[in-house]
Amino acid sequence: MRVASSPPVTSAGSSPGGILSSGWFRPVRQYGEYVLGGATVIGMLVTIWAALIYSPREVNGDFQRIVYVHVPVAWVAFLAFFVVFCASILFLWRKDERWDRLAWASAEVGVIFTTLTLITGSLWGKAFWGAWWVWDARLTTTLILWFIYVAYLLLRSYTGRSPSGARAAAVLGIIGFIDVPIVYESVNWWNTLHPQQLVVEDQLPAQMLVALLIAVVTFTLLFAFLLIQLYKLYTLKAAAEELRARVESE
Amino acid sequence: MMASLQLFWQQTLAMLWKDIRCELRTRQVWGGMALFALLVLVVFNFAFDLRVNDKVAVAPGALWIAFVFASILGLGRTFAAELEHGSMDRLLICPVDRKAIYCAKLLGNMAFIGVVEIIAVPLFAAAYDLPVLTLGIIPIVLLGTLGIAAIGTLFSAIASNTRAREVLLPLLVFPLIIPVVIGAVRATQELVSPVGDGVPWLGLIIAFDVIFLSVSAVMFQYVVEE
Amino acid sequence: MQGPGLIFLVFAYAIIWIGFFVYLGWIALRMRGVRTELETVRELVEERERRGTNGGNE
Repeated sequence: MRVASSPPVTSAGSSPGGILSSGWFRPVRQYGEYVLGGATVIGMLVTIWAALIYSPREVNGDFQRIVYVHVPVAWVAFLAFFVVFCASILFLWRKDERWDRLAWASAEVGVIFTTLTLITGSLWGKAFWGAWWVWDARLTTTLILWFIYVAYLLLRSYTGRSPSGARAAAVLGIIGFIDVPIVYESVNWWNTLHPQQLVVEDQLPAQMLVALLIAVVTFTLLFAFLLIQLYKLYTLKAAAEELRARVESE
Repeated sequence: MMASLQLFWQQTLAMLWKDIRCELRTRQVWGGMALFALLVLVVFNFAFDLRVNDKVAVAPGALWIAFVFASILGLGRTFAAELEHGSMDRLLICPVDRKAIYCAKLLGNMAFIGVVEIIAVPLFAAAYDLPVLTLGIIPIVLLGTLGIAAIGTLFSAIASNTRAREVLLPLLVFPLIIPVVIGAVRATQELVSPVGDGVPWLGLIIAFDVIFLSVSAVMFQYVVEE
Repeated sequence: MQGPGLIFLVFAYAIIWIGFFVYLGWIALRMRGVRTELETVRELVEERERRGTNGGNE
């Protein structure tokens, strides 16, 4: 593993940028995080304004504005699992522990956002359909995705920070993501016998699209911010564990 | 090419035969799995009152739940012998392709689950008075079992490395095999009473099997690598 | 703001942002824990090194 051969751990603790390790990115590494955090905060305020005031009311009522948080949160959840998938492949290929940490961090953010997706989705469903849950393909796939990646985090917590645990998690990260379209298709077919109320998407007014776009961009920034924080956290954790193990073995 | 393929199968069959002989000698898994599958069927009978006229809708599900639960029991034992005797390292030192190890374990699991199914399907047909004992059930059961075992063998290797393997294995396997279970239940339902929903359920299972068999065979080397 | 189901809108927005702040707080807590752990271990290392050099001199 990479960490085992890396020089003094004190230096590992002070390099938050991680993947951007070349000298070119020094300013980005130092201030990028603050810029990102600030942009996220501003974006959040703009999102709330755009979602609650700027965008026109829909015929069904104001509860439709849940969509402006539900859709971006769901998008971030899927993006996070896509990052897990890519980072897992790169980890198995390159054997670089940094990819493994990225996958771990992304999986954690992904599970949080999937949980929020399920909650906001069922609130919207209760308001629109009058039911907390329907076994529609998209909902069911999201739920199964949640199960898969909660199991991923469980696996990680059981195996700890070991090379074999990291490889096992990477395998699950890859297989879990491949499974998603198959689950979706199978639930879709399974549902043909249970006709569900269909949401017919009308032509969205431009203002709604703008509000939605603002929300999606903001939540993606938030995702990047959280991902960097968690990545740093796991890097520090690894450094601390490494140091502790070295001290205790002497 | 031919020679390497022949070697691959020789190795696979040797390991498979070792596992089967081991099982025949100790009889740890087969009996337990079969009895468990039958118990699940009995429990389902009381849970859903399967004598009523909607048994066609529920019974195929009960059959596959029984298979999946029994499979998990067997799958959990995939690397038990290696773990108990500490022979996993020796197996990995052997100049054997990792894919051959995976293949042998997969075939072993399929044999174990298959025996359970050979016992359970006729009893299921008799107990619930359903016409499942036709040639059509064979590909459904075979392909469904292949899908469950393909994922299950890989993840039992993963779970066997951890502390809480009995808890972890179903948590890892169940969400992933949902497409197979859906496909298999629906295909069995079609067999019992054709609805003709026009969905190629068997095709879905085949697609799942092909994708996950190939992915798992490639991924297995990363799981057992030391 | 009006219409049926407004309460769900309020709930959804509240849960999203409360969720974020709780999560951020949790991350900050864990970060602080790791930093203190790192600091303790660093002190341990330094102490050991001091002892090690002393032992070498004697």
